[in-house]
Amino acid sequence: MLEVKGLSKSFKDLKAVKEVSLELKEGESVGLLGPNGAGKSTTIQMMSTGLIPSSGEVIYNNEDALKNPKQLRRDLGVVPQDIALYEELSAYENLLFFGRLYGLKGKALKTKIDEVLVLVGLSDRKKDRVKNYSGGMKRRINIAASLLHNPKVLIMDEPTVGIDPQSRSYILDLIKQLNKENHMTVLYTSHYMEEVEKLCDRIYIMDHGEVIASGTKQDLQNLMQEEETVWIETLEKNEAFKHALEDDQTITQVIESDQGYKVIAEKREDLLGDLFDYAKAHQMKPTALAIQTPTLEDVFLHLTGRKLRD
Amino acid sequence: MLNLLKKDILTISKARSEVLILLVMPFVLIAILGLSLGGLMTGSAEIEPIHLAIVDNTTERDGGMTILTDQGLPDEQATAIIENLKVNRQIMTVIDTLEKEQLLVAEKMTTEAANEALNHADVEGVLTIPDALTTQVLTVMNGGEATESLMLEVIDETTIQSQVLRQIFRRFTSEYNLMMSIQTIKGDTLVVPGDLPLGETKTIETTTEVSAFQYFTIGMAMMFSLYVASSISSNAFIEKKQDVLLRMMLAGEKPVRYLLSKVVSGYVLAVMQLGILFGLSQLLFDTFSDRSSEFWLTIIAVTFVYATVIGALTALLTSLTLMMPTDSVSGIFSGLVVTVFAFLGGSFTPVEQISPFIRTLGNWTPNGAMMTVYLQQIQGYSMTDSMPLLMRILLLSAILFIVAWGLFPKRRFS
Ligand SMILES: Nc1ncnc2c1ncn2[C@@H]1O[C@H](COP(=O)(O)OP(=O)(O)O)[C@@H](O)[C@H]1O
Ligand SMILES: [Mg+2]
Repeated sequence: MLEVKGLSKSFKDLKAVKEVSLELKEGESVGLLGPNGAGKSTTIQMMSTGLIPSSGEVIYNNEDALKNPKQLRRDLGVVPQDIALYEELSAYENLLFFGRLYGLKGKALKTKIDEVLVLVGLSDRKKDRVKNYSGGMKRRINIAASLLHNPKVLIMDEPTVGIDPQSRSYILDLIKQLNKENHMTVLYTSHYMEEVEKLCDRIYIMDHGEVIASGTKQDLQNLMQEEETVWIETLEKNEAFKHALEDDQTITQVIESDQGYKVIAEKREDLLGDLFDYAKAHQMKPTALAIQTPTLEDVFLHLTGRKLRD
Repeated sequence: MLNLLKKDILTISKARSEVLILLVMPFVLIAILGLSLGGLMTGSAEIEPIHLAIVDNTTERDGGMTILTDQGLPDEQATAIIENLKVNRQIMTVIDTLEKEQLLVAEKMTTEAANEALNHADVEGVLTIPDALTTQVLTVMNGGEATESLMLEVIDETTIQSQVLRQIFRRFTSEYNLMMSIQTIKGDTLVVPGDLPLGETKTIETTTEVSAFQYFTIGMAMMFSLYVASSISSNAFIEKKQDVLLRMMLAGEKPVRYLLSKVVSGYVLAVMQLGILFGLSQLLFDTFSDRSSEFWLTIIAVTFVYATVIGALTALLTSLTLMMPTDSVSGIFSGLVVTVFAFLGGSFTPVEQISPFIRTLGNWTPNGAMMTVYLQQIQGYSMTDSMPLLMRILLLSAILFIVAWGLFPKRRFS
């Protein structure tokens, strides 16, 4: 339905996006995962004809959307990364303004506004100025403003950044509803892998301006077939222990966290036994030792050698 | 368009800081300055004596004697006529009278000295009397054509001093021409012209004084209207930064409509602001007491002209802002340019008293030029007198808008 091919964008010397190709099929929910600065926002701005690419194509329903952006723009709802609203105006006034931009007016506009307000659960606060809203409410009204013209495709740029868990789960449920019940095609951008994992049928992983992996969650996990993720839960920390693990040729990554260590290592029979021996040698008493299915976080780590949220 | 306009006006009128800058501050300043400087201003708004250099190039002695004797006039009669006519002397008589009235301080100079004095702004004007002016006058009286005439050079067309000088000059020459034409009509019987009707020239300037409240109401209004432009461009920056502009663009908004909406917003907000300031000043301080409805109509018309240039300025600041990665344009404009313009334009003090040069400079700022126009209208000048400055403002508006459109990053919208 919407596809980009070989999309690149340079800002002066910086190559922000390099030869990115991705595709949204009708009714799909697709995730675009990557750390800050990976080029996600730049990619989706080009994809939504809001930024002219240095090279590459944007194709919507088999038509060149860069040459003729009208149809795509009419069918597209974009939720920008920033709160793209007027802070001094009330939610209602904002929605009136954006609705009119799309040529809605009169009763149809009012009905539509009421409808999206119910959808994002802000009907009772619609007269308040946006600047008096909480972070989560701002995010919700930011989404509402993109739904007024009944878009077929919804592109969202990190719609859950910096908000409380309740608002986050509200928004995730809302997106799921839009995708499953309202049959909107969704492109969801985030640097939170749990969200993408929960929400999306297919995932693209971006880093340094490039798509480094893509597929279903299972496809991505299969990238790590040769490796094993082991969780070592310990009460105390031990630097020497960590170094010993890192020095092991078969261990590729050791990540320290509050409750213990996560180890990614080559798959082999005696891995758990070896890890236990290392612990013993350093007078460590692990409370748990378990093989885990790899998360997208692990996949990213595997692909780039870095954590997703550095 | 109406949607964009309504949004701009709503966002600015609902923001407390904007209302503070655009309405509360100027009004408080009008009150403070008007009340505290009330005494100082009365009198100081009167016109200072004008410094005029006179270059008299007359060398002729018997100016045009032969013209008269050729017509068969006896020598003695011709000499008497010429003695009476000597134009350069008559001009000096007029100037003497004006000096006694303390309207003028005249000084005879050579051409070079006069030009230098004009360049250094030591004098506001130079009056040059060409050689053989009397002969010229006689030639004209006999149906010939003059080859030279009196010439007045002024330092700047737009200052009040220059206007007074020009009026004196215009009055003098038109009186003279009128008189001469009567002479020539009489044809062969040449009547000896009497003295020029000098009484007329004395009452040329009947300027109404400008009160402190009037002065500062105009001054503050002119200054704070400039902030309308930077407020709107600052909003445009937020629109860009927070991707509202992206939303507009994806909704198919055209760049020209966006820029025009900024012009109209600037225009409408300036009209609203000026209306409120003038109205409040009138209501609370009775600033323009007992003025005719004609006066108010003139003020309204002039206000529309000022709003136009504010609109164009808004467009320029918006274009510049959208080109920049930070909101430096609005910041520099409101922090620096407005202050400089306000000083040059005379918002705080009548700058022509400091230096006529500053006034000249000030009259090239939108606020300064319009301040001069408003003050002229308060003093009862005719619209014709204000026309050059009004035309200047309209021309400036056109230029500002064209530059704004040229700079506007249209590609962002395409
Ligand atoms: N308008 C711009 N001018 C210059 N550099 C930019 C611009 N927009 C983005 N970048 C740079 O491009 C890179 C990718 O940014 P972005 O697409 O916002 O990444 P993400 O959304 O994944 O965090 C970053 O290094 C960012 O600094
Ligand atoms: Mg981003």
